[in-house]
Amino acid sequence: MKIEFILNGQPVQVDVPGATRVVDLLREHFALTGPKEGCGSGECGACAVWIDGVTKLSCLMVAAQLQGREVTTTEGLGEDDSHQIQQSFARRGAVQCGYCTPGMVMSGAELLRQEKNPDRAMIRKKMSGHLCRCTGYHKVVDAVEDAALLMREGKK
Amino acid sequence: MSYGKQELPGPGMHHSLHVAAQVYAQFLCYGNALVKACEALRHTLYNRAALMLLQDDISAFAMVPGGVRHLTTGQDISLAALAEIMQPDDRLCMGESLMPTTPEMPKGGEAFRLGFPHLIYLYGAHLVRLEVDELTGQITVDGYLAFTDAGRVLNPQNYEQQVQGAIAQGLGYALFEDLSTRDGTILTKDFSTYILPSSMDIPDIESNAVETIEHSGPFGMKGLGEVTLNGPLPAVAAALIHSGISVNRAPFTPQRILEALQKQGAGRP
Repeated sequence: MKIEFILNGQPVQVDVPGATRVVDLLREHFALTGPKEGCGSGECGACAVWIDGVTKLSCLMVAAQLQGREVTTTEGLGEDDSHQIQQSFARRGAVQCGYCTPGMVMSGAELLRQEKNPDRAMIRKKMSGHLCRCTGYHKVVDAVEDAALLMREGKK
Repeated sequence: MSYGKQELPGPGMHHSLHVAAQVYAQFLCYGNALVKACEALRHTLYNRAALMLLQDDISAFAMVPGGVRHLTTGQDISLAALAEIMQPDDRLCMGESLMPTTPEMPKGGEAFRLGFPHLIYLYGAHLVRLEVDELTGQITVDGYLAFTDAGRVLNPQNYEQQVQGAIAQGLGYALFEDLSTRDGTILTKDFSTYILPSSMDIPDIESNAVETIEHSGPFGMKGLGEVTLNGPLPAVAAALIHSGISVNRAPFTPQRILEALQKQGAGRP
């Protein structure tokens, strides 16, 4: 099945079985290993990507659903450099093993698009779809707060 | 009558302190071995640098960012330049570290066949603040404070990461995580049945380091990780018992809390 969509800003065309899972398509066909398969059943959030700017779980979507859509992964989040939230995650120690991080970064960046000054409770709520075994979430919340502050101050 | 969150009789918030100690032989061993391996590599680097500068006293060299400096003349040689003249075997340095057990094996040493006696202890003290909803049995953890003695702190951010991550895991064991099996088959085999704490379940965690110097450890550290994992379950249990809820089996699920409340007649209003 031929499918055309926009991937991280570039128009792409693939010919794959329509029922290929989006997480497999991204990782195997496009070598975008940001989205991770954790549970494969929509419970952990590690495979999150943006579809038309909205965070979705790529393990629960099939390739055919991408026709004409715009897909963004953590690799395509920043423009020239990495996105502020990616930098804040690194600087504030919000990453340990890193498996949940690409998904968290997508949700965090979506939140910051919608809300310039989120409080810690809002951040926790937004991140609640992403399970993390390492961080205890404290520094994740710190990182999103930090990114929000820097973005309000005009840094990209 | 309010059906919202209710406080238990007595002070609404319950604090509990738990003190734990744990040992860290592995961290010490690998850390000390790493230090020795690095020292061996540094010695090799000084040697090669001395060769390049036609010097014979390697004690006149020091490491600087990105290279080696000959202190007497102020000349720098970059690590890249040194690496170029080093054979592959030269670039490999090894160190080893042994963890001593007791100086004299006690009589009846068979008892230690299964493991070495613990020598290096870590210490921690945890304070948890939680609320229990008497109607639903739901526990909400509102605050967490941890003090940890893991020797010298080499990297404060890593240190906090270990403390906060371990406490979240410990709170998972206290409140949610319950591996269930039947006939050798795991019944809780996904995240909808084996519940991990989410960002909504874990409060901000304040970590304080009580720095001591462990002279046998690498740069005075002992190592850190599981000692903070041990605290949350007993701290939560102690908080519940302190507020009159008698529990003796983890995790403290709403069902178990309600059963405990009903048993002691302090249950529903």
